[in-house]
Amino acid sequence: MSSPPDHASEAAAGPAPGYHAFEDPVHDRLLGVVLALGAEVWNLRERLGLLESALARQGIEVSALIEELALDPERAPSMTADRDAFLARFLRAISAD
Amino acid sequence: MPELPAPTQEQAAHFDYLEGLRGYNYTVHVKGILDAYERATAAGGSAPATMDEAGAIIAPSHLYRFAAATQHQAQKMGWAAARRSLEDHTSRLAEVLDRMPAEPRGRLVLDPALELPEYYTERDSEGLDDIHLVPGGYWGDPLVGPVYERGGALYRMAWRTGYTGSPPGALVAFAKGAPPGDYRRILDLGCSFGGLTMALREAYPDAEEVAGIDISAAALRWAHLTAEERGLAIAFEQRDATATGYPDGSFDLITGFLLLHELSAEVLDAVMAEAYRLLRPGGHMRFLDMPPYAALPPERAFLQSFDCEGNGEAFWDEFLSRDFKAVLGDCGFVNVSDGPLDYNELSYWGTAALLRTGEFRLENRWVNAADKPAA
Repeated sequence: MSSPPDHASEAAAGPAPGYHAFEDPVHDRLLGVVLALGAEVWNLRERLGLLESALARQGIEVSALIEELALDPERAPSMTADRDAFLARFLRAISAD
Repeated sequence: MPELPAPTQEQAAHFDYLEGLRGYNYTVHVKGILDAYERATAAGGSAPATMDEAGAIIAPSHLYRFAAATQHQAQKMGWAAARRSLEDHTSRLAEVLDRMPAEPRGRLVLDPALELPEYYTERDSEGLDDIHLVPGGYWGDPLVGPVYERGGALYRMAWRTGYTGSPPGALVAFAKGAPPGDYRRILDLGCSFGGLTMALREAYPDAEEVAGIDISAAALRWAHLTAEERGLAIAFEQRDATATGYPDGSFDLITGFLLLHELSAEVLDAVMAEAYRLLRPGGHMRFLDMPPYAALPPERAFLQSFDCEGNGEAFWDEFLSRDFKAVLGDCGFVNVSDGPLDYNELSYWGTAALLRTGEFRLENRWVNAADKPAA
């Protein structure tokens, strides 16, 4: 019996190996980037909307605090890590074999 | 089915996005392709007679390329999203999968010595995605049952509502569509997660035995757990449909759902020969699958052919181009018939394949039926 394969669920965006709908497979990969990026943007908007709704229910005004936090040096390291993980996700379609 | 862990907000947002993406692709892109095709053929005088001629008009368009690429990638992303939403719960899911019912109504019989055929495993073993782009195929991942439930619901654009608690009405209608007869022993070939097998049990509550066979142990395990949870007495057994090991004439009714198009012509012929052997004289056989290309307008047949390359369907074109009625006749079956399943399930987007042509259509579900001659 064959050995079970690794299920590479992280290889999400981009075409399956060997598949391309466009004459130049680069275009399939670029579409993968766009679709993955769209997913991230939607999630962000959804999450932000939920956050604002949650806070509003608590009667909390957050706009000023958000402006302040955006420039807070203490947040920089975790923001950098989050950003790098984000980039790795939506650029995966280009680097995947 | 056993309850799946709830997704996080991020996962839920991703599911929503993928469903929206797929819906937009069907209703805007694919509709745009068909509208453009209509304009082109109206301007050109005579309408294309074959799917190749229709494809020559459709395939070069940018919209078609984008629609095909989007459909392909949304499918791939959907399975990955489904699996990722379960990966944080693998130990709990493993417990669920291992927890066999104490007093089962049916049974699960696995055969660890069963040799899986090469056509089923070879692409997975190379690290490539296989049938329907399911990561690891239908056999290599113990979580394939839960992944299929969630990914399948995404495919149907219904993840928030999921499956209903019972088999889809179309499957029950198909099961009940067999000619009137005394079906005591019923066999469902290539049953995977048991959707049709459960529908057969509901359609024939008095049958002595309803059995579902498949070569994937992981799929059968999930089917068994689901059927037991629904209180349905079904024997799920790991057997190869080309050589089941059952005695001659063991069954009164043999069925299959979306099995035929997954098999090469050679394997399909072997399965039909085995089905003929297994049916008692006068027994009935029926399959629910996709309509052959010949039954579709050429442009829809061309769009339907997307799955062959775009969805890991290695034998799709071969089967849908073949004269399957002739195959059944050559095997010795009589009363060979085919046609659309006449059942409209408005709340269910069906197998979604013809959604690719922009709308739900009844002929998406195609019935092939035949009898073994009476002794």
